Amino acid sequence: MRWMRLLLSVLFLCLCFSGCGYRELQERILIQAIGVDQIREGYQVTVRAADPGEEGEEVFTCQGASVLEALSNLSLSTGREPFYAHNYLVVFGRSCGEGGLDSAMDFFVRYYTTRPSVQVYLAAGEAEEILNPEEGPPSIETLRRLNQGGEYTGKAVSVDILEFVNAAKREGSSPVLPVVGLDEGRPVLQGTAVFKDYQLEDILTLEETRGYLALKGNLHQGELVVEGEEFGTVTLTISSCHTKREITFQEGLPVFKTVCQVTADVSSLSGERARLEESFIGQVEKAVAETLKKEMEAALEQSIFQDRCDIFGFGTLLYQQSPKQWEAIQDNWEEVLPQCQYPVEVKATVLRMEQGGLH
Amino acid sequence: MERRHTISAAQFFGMEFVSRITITIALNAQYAAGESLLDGILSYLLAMAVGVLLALPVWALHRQEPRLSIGEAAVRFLGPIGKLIPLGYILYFLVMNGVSLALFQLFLLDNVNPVFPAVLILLVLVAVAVYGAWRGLETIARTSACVLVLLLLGTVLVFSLVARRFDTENLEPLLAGGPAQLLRGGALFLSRTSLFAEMAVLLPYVRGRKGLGFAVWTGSTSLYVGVLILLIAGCLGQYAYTQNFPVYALMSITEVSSMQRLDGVFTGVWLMGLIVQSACSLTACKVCAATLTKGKYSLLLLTVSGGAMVGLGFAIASSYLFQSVFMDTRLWMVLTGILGAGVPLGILVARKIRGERGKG
Repeated sequence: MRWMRLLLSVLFLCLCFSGCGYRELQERILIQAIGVDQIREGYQVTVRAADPGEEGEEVFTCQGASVLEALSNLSLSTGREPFYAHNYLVVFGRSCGEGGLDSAMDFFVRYYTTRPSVQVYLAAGEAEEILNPEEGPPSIETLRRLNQGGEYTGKAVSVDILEFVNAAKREGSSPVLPVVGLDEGRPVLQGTAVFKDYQLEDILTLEETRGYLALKGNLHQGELVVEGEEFGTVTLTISSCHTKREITFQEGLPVFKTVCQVTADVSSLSGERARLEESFIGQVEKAVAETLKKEMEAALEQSIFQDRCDIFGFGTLLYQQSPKQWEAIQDNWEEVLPQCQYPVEVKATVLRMEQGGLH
Repeated sequence: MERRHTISAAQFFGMEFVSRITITIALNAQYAAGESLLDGILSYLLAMAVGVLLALPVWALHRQEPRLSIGEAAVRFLGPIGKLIPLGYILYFLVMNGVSLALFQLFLLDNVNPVFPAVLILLVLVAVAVYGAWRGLETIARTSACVLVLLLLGTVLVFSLVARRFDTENLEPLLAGGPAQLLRGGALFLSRTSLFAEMAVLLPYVRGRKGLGFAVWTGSTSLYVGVLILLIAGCLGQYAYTQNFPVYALMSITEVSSMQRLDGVFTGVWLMGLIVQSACSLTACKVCAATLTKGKYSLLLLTVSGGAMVGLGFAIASSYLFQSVFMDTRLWMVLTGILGAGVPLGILVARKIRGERGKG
């Protein structure tokens, strides 16, 4: 009798857990990348999806009054349900940035199957061009690995939805996004978009982006080229970069001092010089420090003084270390921001000379 | 019910640890922590400190009458009117668990969106809990020991993976918003603590070093909740306020190599914890009902109680009015205070008065 009951229970459970009622794979659009462009009637979405039937990918474009409606309207032409859980990246068109990203981004924050760790980009032009260029769409793998480009070169940022929302909502902070454009049909990171609230304000160049990363303490790798009459053109590989930030006060206003310690190795020489004598190391170190300092100051000049966007987190730092002082100026932070001082000090150390070289 | 010491203090407080975690992982950042997430840690510590004081009347009553549950003590020392006390405790446990079930249903609707009615999951969950309560406290305690191990393994795995995303820039200074939020958060944590009421009912069925068990429960839940809130603050930051269930969002960003989206761990842990929590509360209801029915009709009473829990959970999840009433922190602070400390204190006083009259 006991075995009979056990058998009946097992059969009953098999019926209950058979998963009937769920959609099959081919009944879904397995979305891997989403592009969003703002149009007059609302939004146009460009979707890259895996083809469940064969190897390869599909590209769809659809429109709607909101991002979610545009994505849902994909079902009208495909007869399949969009599935967002495997979406890896989102590209917002420049039109979305100029119109304000908050409306377009809300779906990716609120919807239950979207992920906060999805990479986000701003297209230099239209998102549709990036995901589906005329020369033929780049592979999803290429698009997925774009964010690592910044890690290797130290000239681009990597931002996901979580980081963007936090940067927008932190005290006094402004968010950034990597800018992606096309170079002969291939997607290329071209700079960093600076936002005020959720509106596109400016775009930093690749060099300014490196300065931004150094100021934030997020510069870990990359090549730096320095030139000098005595030593020619030297390319160094950054092996480490440590940034320390401290706040003091002068005449009631904060002074945000940044000290950056960078370590680099000589990787190649250009020009006629065959060897780099050790006596020139000091000059190379000085040149590295000056070059990086210039890039950091350029990023500060552009963002703080011209755009009045605190993308470096100085307001957050002040809030964390001196909450009372922050409380006094937080309502006027945009006006106070360019009145503060931002001294930058860079110390460079060249650790390793080249192995031998060409000559 | 016959007086048997059926479970050890470790088993009882292990069961309560699972219940505590089940309630905590459903926390909403805005209600628990206000403007500063880190203040939630201080709020919880404050809640535990006040909780130790709240628990004193329960301990004192248990010391005086170690073999009587709160219902039996109420009937003995308050007379016929004392029969209202176990009824009050039954209602408290039913509504408290109804709210927990409602939160789970809201989570299912918000984040899982099942094709079938979410209330069916609540029915199955409570049916398992009813079965466990019918089998007895020891059955639930042994189950909770397994659940506890799975819970700790699952959360330790997730915590260690998600810690890679910790960013000090997300942290905010403690008490930046003043002490008001600290008190509100403390009230929220304390109000959702059914331990005091469950101790009042179930301590006669627990053997061993109960004081030590309570101390370990207080310390371990403080550590767990503290680490959880710290990770939410450091890894999610302000993003946590955009989510109804930030612990779920925390688990969804967990990834290393191909191991991604461990939010299923969250759902499984919550489900298992709810079964233990509901079963424990249903057992407490059975003990209270036994005072009124002399131990008869226990399975029927458990089934009706379980059905009432599910019905209430469904009603709360479906109606904003019910949510505003039953999820009000002030209501639960009053109920937890009365049933956790007020009633035991009243019975102690009544006992003392009866004792003095007897001597006189």
